[in-house]
Amino acid sequence: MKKNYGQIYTAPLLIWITVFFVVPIAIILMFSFLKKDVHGGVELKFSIAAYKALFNPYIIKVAFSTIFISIMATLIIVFLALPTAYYMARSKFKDFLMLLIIIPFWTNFLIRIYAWIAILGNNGILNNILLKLGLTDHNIQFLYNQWTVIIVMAYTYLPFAILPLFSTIEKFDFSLLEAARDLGATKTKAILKILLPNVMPGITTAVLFTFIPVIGNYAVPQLVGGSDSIMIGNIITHEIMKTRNWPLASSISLVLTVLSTIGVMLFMYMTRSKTDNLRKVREDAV
Amino acid sequence: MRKHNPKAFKRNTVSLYFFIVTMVIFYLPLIILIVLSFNATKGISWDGFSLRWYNELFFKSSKLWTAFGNTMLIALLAATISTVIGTLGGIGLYWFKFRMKKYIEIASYLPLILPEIIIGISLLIFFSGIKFKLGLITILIAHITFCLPYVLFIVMARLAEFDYSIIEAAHDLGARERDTLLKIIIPVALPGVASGFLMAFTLSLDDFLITFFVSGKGSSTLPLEIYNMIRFGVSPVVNALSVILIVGSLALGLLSKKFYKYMFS
Amino acid sequence: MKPLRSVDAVNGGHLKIENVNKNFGTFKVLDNINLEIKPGEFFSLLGPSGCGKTTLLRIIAGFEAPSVGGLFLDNNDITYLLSNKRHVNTVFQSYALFPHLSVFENVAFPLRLKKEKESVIKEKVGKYLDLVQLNAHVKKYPAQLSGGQKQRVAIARALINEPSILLLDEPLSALDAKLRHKLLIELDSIHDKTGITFIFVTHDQQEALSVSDRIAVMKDVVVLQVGSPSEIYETPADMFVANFIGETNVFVGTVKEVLGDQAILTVDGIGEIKICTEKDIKKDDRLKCTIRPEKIRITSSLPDTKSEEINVLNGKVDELIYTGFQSRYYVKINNFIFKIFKQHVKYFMDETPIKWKDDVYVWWYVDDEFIVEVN
Repeated sequence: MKKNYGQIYTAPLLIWITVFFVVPIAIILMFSFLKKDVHGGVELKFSIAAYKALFNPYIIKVAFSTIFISIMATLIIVFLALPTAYYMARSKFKDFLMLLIIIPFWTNFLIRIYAWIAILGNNGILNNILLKLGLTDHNIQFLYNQWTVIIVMAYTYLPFAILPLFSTIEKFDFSLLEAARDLGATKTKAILKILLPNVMPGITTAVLFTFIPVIGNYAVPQLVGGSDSIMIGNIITHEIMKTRNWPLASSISLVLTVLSTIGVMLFMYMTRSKTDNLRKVREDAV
Repeated sequence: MRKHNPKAFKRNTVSLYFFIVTMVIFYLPLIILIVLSFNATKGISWDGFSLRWYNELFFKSSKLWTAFGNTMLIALLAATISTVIGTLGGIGLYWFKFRMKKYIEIASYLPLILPEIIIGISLLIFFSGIKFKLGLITILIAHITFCLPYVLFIVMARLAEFDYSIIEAAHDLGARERDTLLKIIIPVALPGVASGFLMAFTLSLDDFLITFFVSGKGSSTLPLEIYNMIRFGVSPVVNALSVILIVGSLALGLLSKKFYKYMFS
Repeated sequence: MKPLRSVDAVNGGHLKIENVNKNFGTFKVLDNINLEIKPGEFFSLLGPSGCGKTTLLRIIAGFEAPSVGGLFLDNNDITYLLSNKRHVNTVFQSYALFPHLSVFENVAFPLRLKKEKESVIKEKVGKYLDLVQLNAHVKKYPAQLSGGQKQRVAIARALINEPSILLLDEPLSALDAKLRHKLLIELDSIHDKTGITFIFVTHDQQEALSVSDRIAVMKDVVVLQVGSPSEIYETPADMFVANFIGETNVFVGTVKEVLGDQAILTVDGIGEIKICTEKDIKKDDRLKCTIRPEKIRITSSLPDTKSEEINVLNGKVDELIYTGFQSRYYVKINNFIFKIFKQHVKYFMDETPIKWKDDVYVWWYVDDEFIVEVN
């Protein structure tokens, strides 16, 4: 019989996470049902005005464009990250390649975005080159549209997907692929039917690590986006800092929370059934 | 016996192309920044080698250095505090059953799947609600809050590698709970704890969005300063600063390679 | 069979387990266990997985408390004593070595807790590492050791506190067969040298039979039989024990008639055989009776032994397995397959060897049979 030290060990965590996470979230939940104060706070009066305001066509449009940007960026990231991680995991120089990914991972993302602005900006390197080569006679605006937001997002969060994918693929027993080929599968088939289901947990992590920061992003659309690429994060910030409509900021925040939670759940549910079956098969085998 | 061709899966031509594309995307901009940081003029075209921007960075940018000091101080404190709380919490959650366990688990998981902006906003509203002045303290609190879940799960991933028997063995051999914690659990969890610390440190160093909400007047951090510099046009000082930060990342990268295993499991 | 050692060794603890029950929620894992383990005994808890033997061990170690019942070590109640306060130490199935400590420091761990002097630690750790023959590896870390070496460290570490009882939880299960055998003999010799009471949990009947003074056979949360290896093997308490401890042939039949100290049994699927009336049996009793395969003889001609002492049957060799030290014959008689193990005592056999599909005589002494269940 051991005494139960669990509560002692977790007490600081319990207190911290309650005071600085659960309570603040509860407060915005509460604020979203309160009336806006003229001075930029809230009045202690029940109101669903903040939820009515959500049906503003502008907010709905931004919500859809946020979802679009997040899904596209995540798809591009997974599309690039999977083969990259696979190559790394099969390489003889794993450690060195790992380092090559870790460096941009640890480099401040604003600096990395800034570098792309220096390249793609109206007076950037690409325009300079095009002008010098005579391929264009005026500066082209590459930045400040929805696609630059998507691409810069993908670029920013790509390392976040490669690292967990690499970790999972590295643990994969590659002799399974040879076994599959031995049994007559083509290389592509072996990868799709054997490797992919086995590295599903890694893909899940990769998607979560990228989708969540993208959907709640503020800085990327602010720096490289245009009027067509405003995201929910920008609206929330605007309502908080500029118009000081806190109930509305709260209700939009909750919508964002719900959106991202649904996205996460849906994705986990989709991949779960596969990984669960796999786990069951493994347990049976043992 | 039939021989397998061991090279059958080694020729990863397609994935190699992808890898190269990724590397170009990652490094081309960084290399350009490095080159431009030594450019003699403000422009994009090369006008000769100069350390002008470094000079400006090191001697004429006191605001940046104050922000840098704040950033380091907050990162160190946030990483230390969240590592202590997270490690103890991880041990408790991993090896014990008790009331409220489910609540702690869910409340600790949630920040990982919520967009950062939610944490930033809720803390901003919370601090204004209790009339707590925004500044370095509020930034520190916010950083600890979002670092905690990472530390917690990194430590737990490490603990998952050991079976509970070693704890029982320690008890069996006469250790009290305090001995077990200090002489067995902490040393065994140390690589995980170190990974957690490093993760928290870098998350805090890099954080822009949450800091953006909970910082007050005169409590700027480096990412906030960088953001402002970028917004108000391309300044070559940013190039120089970037190079310094890239070198710093390289050092951190080398250091953390040892611990990455627990960060992404 | 090994000679019984004197059980008056001073070091060993005397453990009484009284009426121990354990439930996990509504799930019963131990039902009314009563055992008395004598000082210095090598006692085995033997049973298939899920029989509760490991839970019982964990209760003795102090990692679990019984739901009902008590434990008494040398007549002191230790039921609710914390594991770090008991003079009982455990060798874990997974070894449970501290990965961050060297072999030396693993073994020294309990002494460091007691803040023993460096010289005392050195001497004692050396002594116990000698005992397990590991003195050449003191500086290594657990990850650098083989399975057998890890197990030796675990044993030395568990012994260094000089416990009165040493618990061994399937200590050999992760090792390969040869090493298992070697370590088993070493365990036995460590037991002899230290005089400590050993309680050994295993699912391997061979392990239990070869080293134990007494064995408790467990199945489905209860103890079925407690006894010396030969008692358990020769006179199993029920069919489960008979089948679990080694291989056996089982006859199910009805008593046709009782004739003094013998009776005639009509065995389903075979016919009539003679049995001894050592248990109180009557005409028309249904009973189960076993005979071990090595006690059955197999010959090509009729044996010249007095017919009232033996049962003789006639059949055909259905399957023949040669295992080096013995041959295993599976002889079909009516609808029944007899298992017969014949030891090879000589390489050049005097008689012509029995081959597959041969017609053979199968016979055994009536008093080698054992009646297991009567109802």
